[in-house]
Amino acid sequence: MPTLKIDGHEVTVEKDRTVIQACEQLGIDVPRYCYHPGLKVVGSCRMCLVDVEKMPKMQIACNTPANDDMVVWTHTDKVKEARRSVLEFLLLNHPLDCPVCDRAGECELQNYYMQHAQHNSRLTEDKNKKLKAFPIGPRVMLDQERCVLCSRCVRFTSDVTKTGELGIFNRGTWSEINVVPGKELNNNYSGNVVDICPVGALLDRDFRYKMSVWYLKESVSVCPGCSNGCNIKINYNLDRSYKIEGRRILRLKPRFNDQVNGYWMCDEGRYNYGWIDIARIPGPLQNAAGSETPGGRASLPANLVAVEWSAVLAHVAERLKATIDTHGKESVAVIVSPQMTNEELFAARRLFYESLGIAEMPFLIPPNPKAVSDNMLLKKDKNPNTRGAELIFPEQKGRLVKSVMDSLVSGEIKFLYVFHSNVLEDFGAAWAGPLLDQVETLVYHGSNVNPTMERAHVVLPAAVYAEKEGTFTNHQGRVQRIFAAVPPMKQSHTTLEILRDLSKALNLVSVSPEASEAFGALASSNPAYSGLTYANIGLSGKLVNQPEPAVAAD
Amino acid sequence: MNIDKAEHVLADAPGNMMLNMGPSHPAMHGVIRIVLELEGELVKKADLEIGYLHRAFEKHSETSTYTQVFPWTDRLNYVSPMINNFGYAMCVEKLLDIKVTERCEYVRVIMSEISRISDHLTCIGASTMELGAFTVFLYMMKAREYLYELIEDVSGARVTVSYARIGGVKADLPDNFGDRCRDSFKKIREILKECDGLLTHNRIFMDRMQGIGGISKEDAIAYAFSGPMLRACGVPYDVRRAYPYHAYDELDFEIPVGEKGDNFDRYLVRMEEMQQSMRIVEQALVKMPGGPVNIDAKDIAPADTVDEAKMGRISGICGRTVDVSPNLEGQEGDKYYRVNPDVKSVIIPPKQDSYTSIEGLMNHFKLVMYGHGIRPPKGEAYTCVEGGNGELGFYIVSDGSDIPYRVRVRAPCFAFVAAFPKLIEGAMVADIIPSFGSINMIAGELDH
Repeated sequence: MPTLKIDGHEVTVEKDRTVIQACEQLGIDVPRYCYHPGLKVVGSCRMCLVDVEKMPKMQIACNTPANDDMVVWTHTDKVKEARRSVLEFLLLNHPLDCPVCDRAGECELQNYYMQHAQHNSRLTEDKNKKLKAFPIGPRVMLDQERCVLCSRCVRFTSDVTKTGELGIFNRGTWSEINVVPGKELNNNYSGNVVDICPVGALLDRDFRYKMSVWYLKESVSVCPGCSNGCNIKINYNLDRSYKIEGRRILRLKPRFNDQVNGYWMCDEGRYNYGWIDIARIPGPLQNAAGSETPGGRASLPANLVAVEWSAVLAHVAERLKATIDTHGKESVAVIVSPQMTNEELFAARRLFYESLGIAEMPFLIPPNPKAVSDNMLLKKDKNPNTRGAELIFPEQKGRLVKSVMDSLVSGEIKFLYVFHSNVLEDFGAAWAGPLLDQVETLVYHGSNVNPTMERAHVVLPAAVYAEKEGTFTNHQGRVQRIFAAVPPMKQSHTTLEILRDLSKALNLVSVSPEASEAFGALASSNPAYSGLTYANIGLSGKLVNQPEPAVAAD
Repeated sequence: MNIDKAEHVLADAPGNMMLNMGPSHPAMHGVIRIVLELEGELVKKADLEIGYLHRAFEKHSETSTYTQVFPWTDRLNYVSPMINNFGYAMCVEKLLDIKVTERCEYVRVIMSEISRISDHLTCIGASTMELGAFTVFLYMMKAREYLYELIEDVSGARVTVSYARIGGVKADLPDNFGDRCRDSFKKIREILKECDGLLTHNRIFMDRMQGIGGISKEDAIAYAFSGPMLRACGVPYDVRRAYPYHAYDELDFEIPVGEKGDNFDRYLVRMEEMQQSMRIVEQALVKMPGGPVNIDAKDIAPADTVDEAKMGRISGICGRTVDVSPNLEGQEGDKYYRVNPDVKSVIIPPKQDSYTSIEGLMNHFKLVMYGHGIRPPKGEAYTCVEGGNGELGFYIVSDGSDIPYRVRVRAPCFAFVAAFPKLIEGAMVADIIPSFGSINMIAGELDH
């Protein structure tokens, strides 16, 4: 555990750390381009030069081991001059693209120029021309002139994804980044090269020209794309919707978590945010054409009209009570979803299983065998909270949603409440369609328009993960918090609010719609979550008390 | 007298009349309401209601960046806008701990004094016109027109100039400014001589102005008077001498001081101040560092430099002087740095740098970008300048971001308006007009 002094402050670091990591521990900013904590060190940019006493020349902080009794200075005149000179060289051939560059506002050239350099240009010659703004893959754009040849992207594709698409070609002033001939940048993690590029050379084709970064606000969340639960940041804007076709979420970026996703996130999760703002259910809907008829309504087209929340929930409550009174609780089935947060699952359990005694509450739909998974972040299970559902509904172990669909054949189920699942498409419209039509009352509780929702008698619009607070439990058993970035769209309510209002309409005690209180109630009643609080989960998550998965995850 | 309780007051003196000189009235002042209690023609009591021109300058400043506040400051004392600009700029420069260049100090002195002359011309002209001297008013407006032409050449606008910038001014003076200024002053001096001849020994003018609207030295100090109002009472307080700023301590000028503090003395003080201002400007034009620059053949237009630089072809254009439009004159690189320090965290680079080099472009970008730009460290500062009316103060609180937390402007005429009832108590209705005119209440500054 060497102890060294940086800028007069003492710091003790772990073995085998470098000076730049020691500086980070102290909170001292050292400018860098090629160093990235998730990648191999190359020391090519020379921006992190610092003065080390007793060494005649300045040393690069990223590759100098932190040794005992070292004395480092990061703000001497020599260091400042070095940073200025390095930046001057890097800027020699840099094109005048700031007004049209996506990276403006989060560009490390701009930031370091203002913080460390502030020199006047001495260049009076023409700048080198290279290829500008061409796609190197389906999701990434390259502008060779803007590249500072830090080689982060090359190291990423060769060491992290091990696909080796990118490389540096030519030498000297003509060096350029490009894809290896015959390849294109198309792997499961290609979006990450845009994150690590410090300048505007590699850009997201999806985000290009959508919005200037200084208009973006940031919120913390967890990707709901699969059971890995990669930590993300949501960039959104609520004031300029007219510029982005009414949408609110603009992009997702990964957040560092060394236990879950490291510095990266997969492309499937990164680009899958459009559904948050598009094709959302506008408000509570009810089938106007005389909905619930015994024996189904196969001849009636879906005719959903808008209704008020209080009216629609009163209607659902009345139908639920009537069905239970007439046919017993075995005639009610609830398809819970592993896309719901732990708090929502708990509230659904409290209302349906504990208060109303409904036993049929499966959630398990086996993953699509064609679903992409790899040995990095992608998991076959494309639901964020399967472990949470397993821990909160242990009685449903091994029970598949398909079994509920099967039992629809006999006509026993008169009331089906579906949370989120698009069962019509999951099981094929040809088979599932007539089955759903047989149900007297089909309630769809979800966020987006889909064929299942269009078949329902009652539609309850729910908030999506970016609009609510809650927790997901990933495949490792790690409970992670999500936060609301934007308010629920149009007339959606959060699931906790809907279940609270439904409980009230049924005169039952409900779980608090405040996510933290709901989680507290869950923690005190479920031994897997006992002892966990929002405070101790924090922003990096905490394992549940039974980390061993009940069902083998993929 | 309390305006709201006027009826109760008059109940004590039922013979008196309440007269409302409403916010809009034929006398050419700003919008202000004077409620008078008259006994016949004598003013027994008076009260003023202000705020009719309150446009939330201070609140707007809390939502604008530091540079965006300049247009708001133009509209404070709108007859001498450059003084407001410089006062505010000085305060932010104090917060940032930036020193302006020497030439910039002289430029600011010259433009302040020109603004001061135009302020006094407006004041005297308008108030004498209300006494019937229409000719004098038009003569003074003619003089003011010469000044407006100068101001327009320097800043591009006559009134809402926004000439100052944090750390400097928008652009250097045009090349022939000195000659044109001296020519204009020659004409202005002739006009002032004529006006002096028409007014100063004019029986009617003297009868209407002498002994009217007076205030004692002690009362004036108690009411926080400053500027010509205070100096007319005999107190030689001038911010340019008491707390010298810009280049005033290197210039030779006198502070005219009156004796009796009545309307006539204020008129004399203002007339003499105009002469002293012209004296200051003529000295400054000579003492100013940085002479004319060798102008090479300007044969490339700015738009062309942008197009070429975008393509990376900067070899033929970097460092060459461009032919800018008259509105941008004075912003060529070498002239620009005569009046702006090379402090990259505050000063936007000259166009030729931001159009032809990436460093200039990035610098410009980061200074203009939403959420970035000029960010003084947390703290507060107060500076005052000698406005046309007196001590014009700016108090700014910074919270470290690019938008000020609080900007407070101390309007000099607030004190005069507060003291106005005292000035006219016991005077006749007809005396209100010259007294109010001599206060030089500018509603934009008073109500901000």
